[in-house]
Amino acid sequence: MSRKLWRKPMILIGCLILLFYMVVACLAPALVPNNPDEIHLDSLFLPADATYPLGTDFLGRCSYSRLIMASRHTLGAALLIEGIVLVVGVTIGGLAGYFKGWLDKVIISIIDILLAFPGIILALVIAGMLGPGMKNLIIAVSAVHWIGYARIVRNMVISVKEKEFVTAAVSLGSNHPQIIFKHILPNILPFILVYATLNLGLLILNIAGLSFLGLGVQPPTAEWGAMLNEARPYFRDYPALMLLPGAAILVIGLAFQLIGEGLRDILSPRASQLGLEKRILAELEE
Amino acid sequence: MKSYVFKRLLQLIPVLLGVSVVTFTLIHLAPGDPAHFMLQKTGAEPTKEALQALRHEMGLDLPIWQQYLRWCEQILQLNLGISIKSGDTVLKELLDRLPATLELAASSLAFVVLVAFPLGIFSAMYKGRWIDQLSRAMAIVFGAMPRFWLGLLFIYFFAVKFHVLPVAGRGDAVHLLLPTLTLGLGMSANYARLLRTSLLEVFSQEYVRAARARGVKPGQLVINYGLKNALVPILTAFGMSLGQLLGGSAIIETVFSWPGIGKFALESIMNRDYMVVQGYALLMALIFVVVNLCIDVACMLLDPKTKKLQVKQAGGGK
Repeated sequence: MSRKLWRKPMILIGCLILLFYMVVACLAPALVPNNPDEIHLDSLFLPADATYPLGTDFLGRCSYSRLIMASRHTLGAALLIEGIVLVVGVTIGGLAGYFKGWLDKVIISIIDILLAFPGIILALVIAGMLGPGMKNLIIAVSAVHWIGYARIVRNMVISVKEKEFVTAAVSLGSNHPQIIFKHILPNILPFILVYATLNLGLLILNIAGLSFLGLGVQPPTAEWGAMLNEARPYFRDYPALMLLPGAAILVIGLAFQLIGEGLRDILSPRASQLGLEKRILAELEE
Repeated sequence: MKSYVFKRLLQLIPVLLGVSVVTFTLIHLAPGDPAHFMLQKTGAEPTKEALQALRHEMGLDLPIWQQYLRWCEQILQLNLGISIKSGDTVLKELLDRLPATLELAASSLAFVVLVAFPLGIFSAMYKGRWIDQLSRAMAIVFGAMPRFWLGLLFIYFFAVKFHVLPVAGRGDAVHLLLPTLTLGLGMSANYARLLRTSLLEVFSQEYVRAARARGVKPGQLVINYGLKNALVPILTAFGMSLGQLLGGSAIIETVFSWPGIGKFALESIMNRDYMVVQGYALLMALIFVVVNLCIDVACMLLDPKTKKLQVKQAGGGK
């Protein structure tokens, strides 16, 4: 499969964009010419020049430095949340699907209840109740995003567990951890990874959206959504303040979309072998 | 059929109970004493008496399970509490703003139908040609586009730069245009792709190929076989994106100063008007659940076969 991956130009382009963002985020402190949070009230809304490659914002801060530093906060939060929901969702969904019975019933009921709320609204009200701040935003978004993992992993585990090779392993005397880690997990891992990749794009949009509403990182910290929020009173006269952070989100979003489209083409035949294709795709549409 | 509806209604009871627990818990997520915060927001540091009065009114001085029962009792009497900011009941405040939100959701939906159906049908009929590529590109780009940014771009280009449309606010149909486009564009591309997929699925069936061989025109194929089959997945997807319409509108309403329920909820969050936020979550969940129930029933009417399967696999619903 890995050779097939690289033959898809969409996946290649998407991965290159992602790589670029990751490098920028890692090297951010070395890349910025100015302190991104330093206020210069004597140089507001400057156009681009040698000192400020993209000009300054409404507090005289270097737009370029802020744009670069923001990558750390948006991507960092997205990766952290992805890690949390991956562990929580896969564990809960896996337990439900593997052991079934009352545990499954309880978990499914909790999921059904949480799904009664539109996801965006649940994240919004949790973040709102906890109060603005990056930590609370991470809690709120995680509280919503584990559900998708749990549901999809549960369904996958159930269908894999019915396969003959698992029955064979059971009758040969394998214990639960052996079955889970040797037989079930390796079979569903590719799909979990696909889901995780695509979910990361969604997470970035969610984080930026909540920050845009003033619920994420607090000033003066730079984050793309928060920068758009700050730019709102001024973008009519200084559109660059609004264009650049938005474009930064759009481009990384595009990277995930391209990877997703490519992976979809590759994985569809294999997924349908396990009867999973439609479920995964439907889950991703959400 | 009747037994199906009955079964679904029964399934609803535990979900609604759970929704009530989650909504009730929300207020306890607030850091510190919610009553204290709420009073602080109205002005100076609250007096002890005022604080106690409010705590008592909100039932915060009771043990938690009694608080919950009291709250449920109030909810069943349609009492969602009082908005600290305005002094009106939360229910009235929310219902006053609901029409604006529904108006925006309805016009976005109309836009989606008008764009997605032709786009999806032609993408399927001319698979691989430019219109198919266009709808694919649209789905990719709008899937990556932060909606609030799209809204800001629209405001900048249409209202500020070229002065062709009003910047924000609610009024005549022109005011609806930009928020509708912002909400609807991404969704219509998604629906077009969905429609295309299910049409292609139908077209590959043997009875359709046979019909084509008999000389049935492509347009008739779409209408007679394709759309009928595509309706169930489209309706189901609509149930899901209703959440997007309701929830996404909070952001879009803020961007366009649209006086709807989402913008109000957000203002209430900023004002720490907790009862309003709680009421908002409850109302949205109710709308979401009821509409999805109706959609499930509609799907069942359209295609009894698929739905029977879905009832069996619990949790496989939306």
